[in-house]
Amino acid sequence: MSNLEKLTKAGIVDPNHLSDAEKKTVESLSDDEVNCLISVKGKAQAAGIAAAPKII
Amino acid sequence: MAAPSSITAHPATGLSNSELLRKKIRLASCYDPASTSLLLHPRLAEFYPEVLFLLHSTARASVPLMQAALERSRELAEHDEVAAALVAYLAEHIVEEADHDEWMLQDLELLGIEREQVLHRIPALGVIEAVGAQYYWIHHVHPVAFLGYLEALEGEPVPVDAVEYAMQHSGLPPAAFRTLLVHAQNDPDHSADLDRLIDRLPLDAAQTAMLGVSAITITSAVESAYSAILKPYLASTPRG
Repeated sequence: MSNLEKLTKAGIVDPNHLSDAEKKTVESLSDDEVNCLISVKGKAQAAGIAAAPKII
Repeated sequence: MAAPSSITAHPATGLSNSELLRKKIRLASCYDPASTSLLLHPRLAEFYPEVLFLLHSTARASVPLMQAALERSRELAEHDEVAAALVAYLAEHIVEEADHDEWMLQDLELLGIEREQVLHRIPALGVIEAVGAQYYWIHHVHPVAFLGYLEALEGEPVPVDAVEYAMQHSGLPPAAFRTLLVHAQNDPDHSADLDRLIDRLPLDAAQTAMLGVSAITITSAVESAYSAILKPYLASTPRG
């Protein structure tokens, strides 16, 4: 499974909203980075942290 | 944007080390990059003390972390080109960041919050975990991971005009924004220095991943802490 597929399946990214350059960035991630993203963003989503204004 | 030819480009993406790291931070972030700063929020006066407390939670650890990273880098420098490159940067950055936590305590005192309240209050647990993890990275993996932490916290400086707006319109004492103003004025240069350092480092794949994991974890921890502070106010958050 590609990184893009893993992150899409985890609900972390939507490939329809990623540019080709962003997809290359996603595919360049190591397994550790992919797993870390899935972990932290999964927790954020579970906590209801949605898109919000930029923090300071 | 592709990395200039003078900077080592990541082979798969054509990006410099710092550009790639910023994109990873963006992937980790839950926040809308097109939105306006919370310094423009009409209810800023209600939550600004909590924001300062959160900022102090990381600021109080900045110099100790940098000192730990500097000492470890010096230990490794003789045989480690990446560690050797960190030494000069960290030594300079420690001087630049000195006393910023004290300034925040002074800013909070202007808001009627005594420093003993701040110093004895337990910070957000996620922040404690993410900051504490940096000591593990530094001592037991490689101090270069700390640069991921710095990029996440300092890579997108607060705009000066946003701070000035808050000073004028929040209803709070303008002097209570002293630390934020100084950061807004100086952090663009600091951010550029950090990017130049990251870009000239001969990182291997493992070290590139270390920066990424380090940056992703602190990004998430700080945003989670902010979210808890801001939840009551998000419905009235300005969009821009």
